[in-house]
Amino acid sequence: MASTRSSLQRFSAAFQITPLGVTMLLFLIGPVAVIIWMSFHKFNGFMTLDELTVANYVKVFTKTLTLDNYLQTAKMVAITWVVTLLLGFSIAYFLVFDLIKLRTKLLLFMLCIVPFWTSGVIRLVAWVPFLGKEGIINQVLIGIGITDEPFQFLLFSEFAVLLSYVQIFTLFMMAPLFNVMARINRDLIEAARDNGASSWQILWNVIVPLCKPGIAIGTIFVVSLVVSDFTAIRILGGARVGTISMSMSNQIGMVQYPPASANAMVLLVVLLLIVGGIMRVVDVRKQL
Amino acid sequence: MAEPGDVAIKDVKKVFGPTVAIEDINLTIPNGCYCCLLGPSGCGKTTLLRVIAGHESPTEGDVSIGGQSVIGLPTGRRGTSMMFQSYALFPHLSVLDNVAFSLKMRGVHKHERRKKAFEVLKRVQLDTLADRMPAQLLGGQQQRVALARSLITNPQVLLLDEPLSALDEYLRLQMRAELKFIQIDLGITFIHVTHTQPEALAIADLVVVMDTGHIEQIGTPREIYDQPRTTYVANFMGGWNVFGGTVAGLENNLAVVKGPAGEQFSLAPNGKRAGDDIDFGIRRDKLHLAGGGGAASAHNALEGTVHAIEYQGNWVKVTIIRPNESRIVAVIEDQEYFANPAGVGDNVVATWASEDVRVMEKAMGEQNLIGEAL
Repeated sequence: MASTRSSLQRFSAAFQITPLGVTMLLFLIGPVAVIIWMSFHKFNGFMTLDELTVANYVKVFTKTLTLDNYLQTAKMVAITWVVTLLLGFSIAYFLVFDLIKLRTKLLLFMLCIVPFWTSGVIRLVAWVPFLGKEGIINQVLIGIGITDEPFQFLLFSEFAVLLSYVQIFTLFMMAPLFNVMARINRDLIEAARDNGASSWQILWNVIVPLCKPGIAIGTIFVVSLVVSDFTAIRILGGARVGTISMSMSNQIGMVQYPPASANAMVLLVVLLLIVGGIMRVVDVRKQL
Repeated sequence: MAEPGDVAIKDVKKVFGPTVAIEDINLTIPNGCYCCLLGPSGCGKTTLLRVIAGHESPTEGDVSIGGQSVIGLPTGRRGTSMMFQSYALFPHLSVLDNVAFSLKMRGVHKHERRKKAFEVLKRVQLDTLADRMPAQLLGGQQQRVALARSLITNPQVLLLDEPLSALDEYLRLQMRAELKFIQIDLGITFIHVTHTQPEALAIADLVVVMDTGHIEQIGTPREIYDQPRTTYVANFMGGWNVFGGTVAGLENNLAVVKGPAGEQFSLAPNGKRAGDDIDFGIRRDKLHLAGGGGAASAHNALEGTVHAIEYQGNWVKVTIIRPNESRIVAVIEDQEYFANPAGVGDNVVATWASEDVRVMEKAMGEQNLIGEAL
């Protein structure tokens, strides 16, 4: 009797995780396995051969271009991270601590989400008429006499890509920060004030430490989004920005699947290390 | 000459939007006094505490501590320290660093501030838990950390917002004795907000009874309990049976009062004249019970049916329901009760002496009662 029941329970548990299990298998484990498999195939410069090799990985680690790509990616990540963190923190702080009415908070929060109601590509293309040589910003700048020549760096440049990253990814930093800040007990702030803390001291000694899990989650979002992006670079970067995903995208464009797969695997490991490192430093579980 | 822990509150009013939270607050608390602000929730006692602490600024009036007005002075520079109802311990800091927080804010070096915090933790017997995080502590321990964090600032006035309400009964009794001991030991002023009547009576030197934003009575615990100024205080503190009526006439220096249900009372007139409305009360332990019958004509005798009997060791609480559904509670000494015990459902007459009646003012404002505590 007891054994029937426990086997039934076991079956029921297995049954319940089946949908998620199948989904993960089909859309995560399967594709990654294919990429791993592909990354060990020989590539002769024109076509993929049915022969296994580690040459693709050797190439990834020996080409100086790889390092350049990673450095460029790291630079983009660093700049985007700093700017989205500052912006996201300030916006979340404003929403949580400066606004009193819940309705206003939610309304403004919704406003931050509105850009996401449109397609990502449109969001990117929409920058072109703003930033172009004949674009609104340049016309205004020339109009008020700040410059005679239109600024070239505004569009098809690293600046344009970073601008679009900041525009889109700030929300991913802001939302987790909003979440952790909203949970801070107001008594803590008053207690700090009671203990003689100034507003800056409260920020640094109470609010920022309590926001760490939010910063960690936001960082994971922003880092993975920036690292994996190539659309923004395609549309706004004018092929001048050589990040690691861009190089993979190019390789795939030229049907160089094995080298692209090896690149992808290395990047995946690097990302996992970064995320693992963040999780080690900050206990994110409490916030999930 | 004002002493450092003197607190004087003058004509304080605090308004939140359209709501008046507190009004006409005048209160002087001498240095080294254990003062309890007592009242039901929503009576404004916490607002008053926060005004003293500087977490709220009064809309009108003045607050001075140690003879100096502290209006406009930031929290943390008033010589006050507040203990929060939620304890408000910093969850990211260890017990030791929580206690050392105010020293850190003042720029005291790490080694020195930890040493000092450790000494204060010893005082509240928590030195063995110095390295724990607040979440790893029990409620009572968290409270001690909060106390230590307040004490390290050497406050002249310690403000306690419902400090015992989150503890279980046993810890509450233990902790309240400890608070009183620490207060006497330090000789500083404690202002303790509570809604629990026995707590206030047990530890306070000065009890301030509040209702709907104003002070009903200020006095020693004995004055508050034994000589309630208003029917509100008597009802809120419990221990009293409160009646009202109209003075019908004066007889032998006693006022004869007719109650709304035709009851006859006789009591000292207290300056009232025939035709005046009068409110008064009799302490529960001044009532005596007798068997039913023939009560209607007598003065100071009310008939009713015994509704409940609660044996409490040296006394017995007898709840009587009168024909008009109102209740009387008599507290009878055990010997007196068991000499002539009444059972549930019995008809009894409660009687009392005219000199045990206390005339009270009618409570102003709405009555905001939360049951009977005593």
